Amino acid sequence: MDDSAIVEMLFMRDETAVSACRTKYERYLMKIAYNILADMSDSEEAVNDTYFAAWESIPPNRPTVLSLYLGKLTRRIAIDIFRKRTSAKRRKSECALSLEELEECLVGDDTTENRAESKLLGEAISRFLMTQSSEKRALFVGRYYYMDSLKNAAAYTGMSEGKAKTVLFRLRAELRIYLEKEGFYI
Amino acid sequence: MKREDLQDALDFLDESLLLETESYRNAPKKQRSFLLKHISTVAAAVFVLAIGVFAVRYYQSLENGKSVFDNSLVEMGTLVPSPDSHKGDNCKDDEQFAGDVSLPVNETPCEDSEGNRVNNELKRIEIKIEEVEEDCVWGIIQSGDLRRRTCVKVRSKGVREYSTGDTVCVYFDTAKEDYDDGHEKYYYIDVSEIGYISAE
Repeated sequence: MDDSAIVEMLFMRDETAVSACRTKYERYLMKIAYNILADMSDSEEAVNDTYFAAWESIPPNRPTVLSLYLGKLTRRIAIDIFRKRTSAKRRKSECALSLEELEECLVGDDTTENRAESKLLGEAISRFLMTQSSEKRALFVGRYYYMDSLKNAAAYTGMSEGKAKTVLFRLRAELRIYLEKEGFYI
Repeated sequence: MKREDLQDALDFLDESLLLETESYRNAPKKQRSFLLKHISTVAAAVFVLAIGVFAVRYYQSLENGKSVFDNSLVEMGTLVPSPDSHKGDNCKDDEQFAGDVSLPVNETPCEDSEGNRVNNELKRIEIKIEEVEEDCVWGIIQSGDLRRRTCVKVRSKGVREYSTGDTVCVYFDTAKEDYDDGHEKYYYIDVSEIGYISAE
């Protein structure tokens, strides 16, 4: 079913839109959730919450690309679930690994950032990535947004794992400098 | 700034970046070429194979009492006979060996028994037959210093066609070490493959 048709059904409060989303995007969303949570039942919970969140947020939102919209919801929900886990239950997942790697980009001690600042920071990262090659961008976004494993991200960008690791290391170092110049340090 | 803040900020990445990444993630995985992907494996396999071949040949040559290095030299076109190689019943010339020399290569074309030139690209040597036996002939390489000290054993099914004094023209590439009896080095040449007779 076409995405725009699904969105229209959601606007008409047609519940079959949810099953249409499930049919079309279940696997895609499960992968996003599983990359973060590394747990099948938690991932299923995150994906189910995604459908509910989509039902609640459309309308008023009218996503132009439904897959990205649902993916963002799943990512956000899965990250929230991940953060709620107790340290005892914390498992080694791509989320934890990617967080550790991203930490290298941080400058100074931590402070509280509000959502507006997050948006500014996200836009700055976007601008930085726009200066990079397509493969590097895909590698970075795949690794840190979708939290794909290094092996997978390297594979779909046509790099060896070793090269991908090096590229990411350099990107993080460059991003750190870029963010400093943009004033994103405390 | 906490690392989680950075992760949260990625929620606000430009959608074009996400779409671009999606296209990578959904596309068939790029395959590096087999050779490139397995180059280290291929290189290792070739290396091991080369070592294996060398080892086999080395032990085979040890059984013949001859170093594989000498065999290699024969195949590469350079023979280095031992200083004693001029001493032998079948070698008539007692001149002292004057040091390492290359196997002489006759630059003139070989001819068959009818005088036709043999069209070939290979190097060749001529051997003057000294003795005809049941299954082989003995001869002396006809050119260069080696003729005075190197005995050549030529074997062929049609060996009885040859007579003492005939010159057998063979391609050099077929010359293989046969054995070393302690006094002389003999080289096996299968005339049935490529040999020709030039009667004197």
